[in-house]
Amino acid sequence: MSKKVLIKTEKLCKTFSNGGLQQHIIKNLDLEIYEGDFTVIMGSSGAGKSTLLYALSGMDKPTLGKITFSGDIISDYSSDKLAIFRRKHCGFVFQQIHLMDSMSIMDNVLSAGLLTGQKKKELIEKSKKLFAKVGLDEKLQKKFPSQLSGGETQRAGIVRAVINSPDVVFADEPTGALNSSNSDAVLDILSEISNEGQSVVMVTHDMKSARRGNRIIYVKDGTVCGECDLGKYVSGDKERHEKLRTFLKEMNW
Amino acid sequence: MNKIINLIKSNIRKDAKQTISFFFIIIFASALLYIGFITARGYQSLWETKIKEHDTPHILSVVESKDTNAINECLDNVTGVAEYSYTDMIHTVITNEVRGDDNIGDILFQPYSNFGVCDNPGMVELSENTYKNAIYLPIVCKYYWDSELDTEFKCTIGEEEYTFMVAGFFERMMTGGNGVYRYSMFVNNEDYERISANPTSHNNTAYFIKLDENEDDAKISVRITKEFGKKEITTFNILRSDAEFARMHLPDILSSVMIAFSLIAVVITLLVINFRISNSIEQDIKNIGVQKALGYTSIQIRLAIILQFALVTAAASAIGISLTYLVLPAWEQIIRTEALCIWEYGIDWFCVMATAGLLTFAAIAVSFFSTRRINELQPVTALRQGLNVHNFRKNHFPLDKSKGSLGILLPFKAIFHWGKQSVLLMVMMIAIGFTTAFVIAFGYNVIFDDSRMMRLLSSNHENATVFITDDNIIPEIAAMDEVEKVYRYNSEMAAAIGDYQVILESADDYSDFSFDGIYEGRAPKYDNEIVISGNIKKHLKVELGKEIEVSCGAYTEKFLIVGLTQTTSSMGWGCYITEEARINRLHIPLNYTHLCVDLKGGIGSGYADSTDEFITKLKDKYKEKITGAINVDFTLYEDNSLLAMMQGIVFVFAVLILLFVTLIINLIIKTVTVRRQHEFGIQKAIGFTSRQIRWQLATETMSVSVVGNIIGAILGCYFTNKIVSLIFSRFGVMKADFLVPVSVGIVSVIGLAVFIFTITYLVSGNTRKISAYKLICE
Repeated sequence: MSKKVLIKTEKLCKTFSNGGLQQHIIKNLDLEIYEGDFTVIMGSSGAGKSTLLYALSGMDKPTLGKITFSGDIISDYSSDKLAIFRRKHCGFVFQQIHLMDSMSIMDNVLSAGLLTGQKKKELIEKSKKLFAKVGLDEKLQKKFPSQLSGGETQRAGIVRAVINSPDVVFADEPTGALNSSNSDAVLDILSEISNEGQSVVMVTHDMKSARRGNRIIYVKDGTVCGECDLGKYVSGDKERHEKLRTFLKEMNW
Repeated sequence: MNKIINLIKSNIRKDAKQTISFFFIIIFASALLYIGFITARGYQSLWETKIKEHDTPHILSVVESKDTNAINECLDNVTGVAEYSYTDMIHTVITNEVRGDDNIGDILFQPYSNFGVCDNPGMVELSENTYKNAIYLPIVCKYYWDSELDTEFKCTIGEEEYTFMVAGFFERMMTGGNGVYRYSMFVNNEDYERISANPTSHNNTAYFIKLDENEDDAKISVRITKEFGKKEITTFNILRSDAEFARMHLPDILSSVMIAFSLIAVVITLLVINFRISNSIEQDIKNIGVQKALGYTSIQIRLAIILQFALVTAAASAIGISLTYLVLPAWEQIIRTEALCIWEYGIDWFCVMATAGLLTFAAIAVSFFSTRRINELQPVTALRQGLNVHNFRKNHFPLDKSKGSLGILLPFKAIFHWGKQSVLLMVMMIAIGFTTAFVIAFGYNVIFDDSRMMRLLSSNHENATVFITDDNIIPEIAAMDEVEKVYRYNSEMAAAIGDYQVILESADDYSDFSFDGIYEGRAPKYDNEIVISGNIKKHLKVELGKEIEVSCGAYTEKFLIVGLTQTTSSMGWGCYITEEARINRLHIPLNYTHLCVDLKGGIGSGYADSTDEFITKLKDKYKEKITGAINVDFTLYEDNSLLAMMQGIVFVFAVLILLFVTLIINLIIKTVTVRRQHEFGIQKAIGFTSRQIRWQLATETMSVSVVGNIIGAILGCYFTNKIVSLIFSRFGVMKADFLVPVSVGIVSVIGLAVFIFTITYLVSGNTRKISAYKLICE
């Protein structure tokens, strides 16, 4: 059965201008992201992974080309229309977590949830369940981000990302600032939501994190230079691990 | 030092937009402050310069006698008189037409051949033509009577008509201005003789008296009058101090108001500096940590910030001061119409130093105190983004427990989260709300309902003042169909109480008055009763119920104080007595009677036409028995230059407030946007639209401002009458009773709220241009 295309890019280009110098980060990139996949975008540093992720998620506008999301061309959207698109369809997990310092963990989650017009009571119930799922008790929910550890904050970030049941969760190096045990916990949560049917697009340069995805896309110099289908993630599956290793070797990673 | 200069450069470059906004605020504050200072000092020194230039005496005594030996003898007996000179002078009353209305003028004529004999009037404009019937007028006539050079000047003295050609305008400090009621004019010898022969003219001798150093002209004037009284010589004296007061009160008031307004602006500016520094420390806390880690000392970092603000303030002050020279010509023109002398302003280095020095010193002081935090900041704490700053804060308005939409709760969360910033903004808005409420309240009383302002400027309001030579026609006028009531009200009669010269006003029955200005006690009913101004009470240190002696010419009588008045009509030196007291006790003769006429209908600018018709009818009926008539509905309500000026000033101040609020809000929003850029970036990333963020910022700013404005408006409304009393206190106003309706407060709060919301919304528009991605990444 063919997979349904969630996001599609055609001739996508992104150029940054720095002091009169043009830097072409994404070059004529064609890509399809499928619904229900845990897509991992890999590549070396400066390859354009994060730029691609933010373009796909409507966080940044492409310089040229077309991005289609569930059939709608989002690359033509205005900034405010993109914001409304993001709140309805996307969830974000950032490397630097990016929770609002001025709000408690709970408020960070609710401020994202209330944007979509959900009923407050139902939203609170839902967020409490999600917090419980990621292991953040009620006491921690009332704290400010600066009062929690990096792992706890990133788990709260995941709750915020999924509170609106988005079509896709975009994760930009979600374990980049975490220690090993916290990284595993965060990746477990992402795997779990993926197993529940949530589409996830994750950027990473860490092979351990990449193993969680079922589809690996390798980006080099702003273009997709290869992809690998790993199949569904199963913990401790050495064959998958070897397949990924071989793929990355082929990509000169 | 190089390290510090590098830090300053880096700070300014980094916060370029905020520095520019701050720069404009300082330009604004320094310009206002400089105008206030230079006006106050300029006019003070101008007066001193002019009296020296024109050799102005301390007292101009117009004596009804030609016996100069007797007069000289009297003056020689008065201690305090240093020297005097004298010349012929005619004192008479002329009637002329000013903008279609009769004007009655108390005029002192001198022959032009005597120009500069006793004093030195300065010719401001001189015709190139020679006229046989030339007349030289004080410059006041140009402003108040619309007289022009080389045009006809017609007037009537008694029953005789005169036509002159205006050949020049001169500047004379004692009798060439407003407020001392008498203008001097020069005519050629032939015309002087003609006026002298007019039966209504008084051929007097004018004494130009100079006093010993530090002598009080008011006290010496009383002594002179008493000395003359001994020889039954009558006189009236014009004092230099009165002339100074009459001419300089407007510059005085304007400069005081400007300085007060600019000081409020300076206080707000200092709060802005504090706000900017606090924000910049929190915003750059990591950089400060890096600087400290690299070896910069706290003193160096602080010095860089202090010098940055000091340099910006000094530079902006210099520009602000320079820019004032673009508006000073218009400003001088406004004041000239009251001061009636030309202020040739230059660069006043004292005021330059005072303005720039005050602002720069204040900026240094505030920067010094605001940067103290840097001393306590450990590099590691700073590098952790001031971790301990964020700890253990209260989560205000938790979203799961608070009622209300996100659009309401988020601004309120931010208000409390950024508590210090909110308090600072609120304090600024209290000051702005206070000023706005005062300006609106003042504006309401000079634009929409000027009745109370009119009461301050003039004690009684009638439709018409008619000058009659025969009191027998009073019952006939009273019986006319359109007349409501008539009453005699004579004014401008000089007298002395103790050591002070006062102005007596007398009326048949003060209950006829629409307003008598009496704020304590009652009006005089019997001929031994007097009402004095609060100003006189203060000088004489007397109370209600006490007896005082009033001297007028050869007569001195005791009067019982029955009330206190506060009208500005006699510059704070007015007293009320009955007509009986004037005639029977003080024996003050009058050439004509002032008859006040109240017509049926009402009083005000809307009745000017009907009053005009009535005056025409009256003149036709009584002809020579009426020497003149004033349409008060027109002159007081429609042609009142002082009122028009106040209305203009209200408008200017309203514009200045809006401009200042715009500058302040612009800076605050730019600072807040930079400081909370990361937060707004996250909000954008999770789906907040730019409109929502702008709305949130505008609601936040407006809410804090509204609280500040309400407090400010309450204070402004409460203090309006106190401030007006203070401004006009030198004119004798003790308790101003301006109407301050609740709507004034409501309008000022709502108006400012809407304005602040709009400005915030517009200024925060630049957040639209930055993508969420950029906001997060920066």
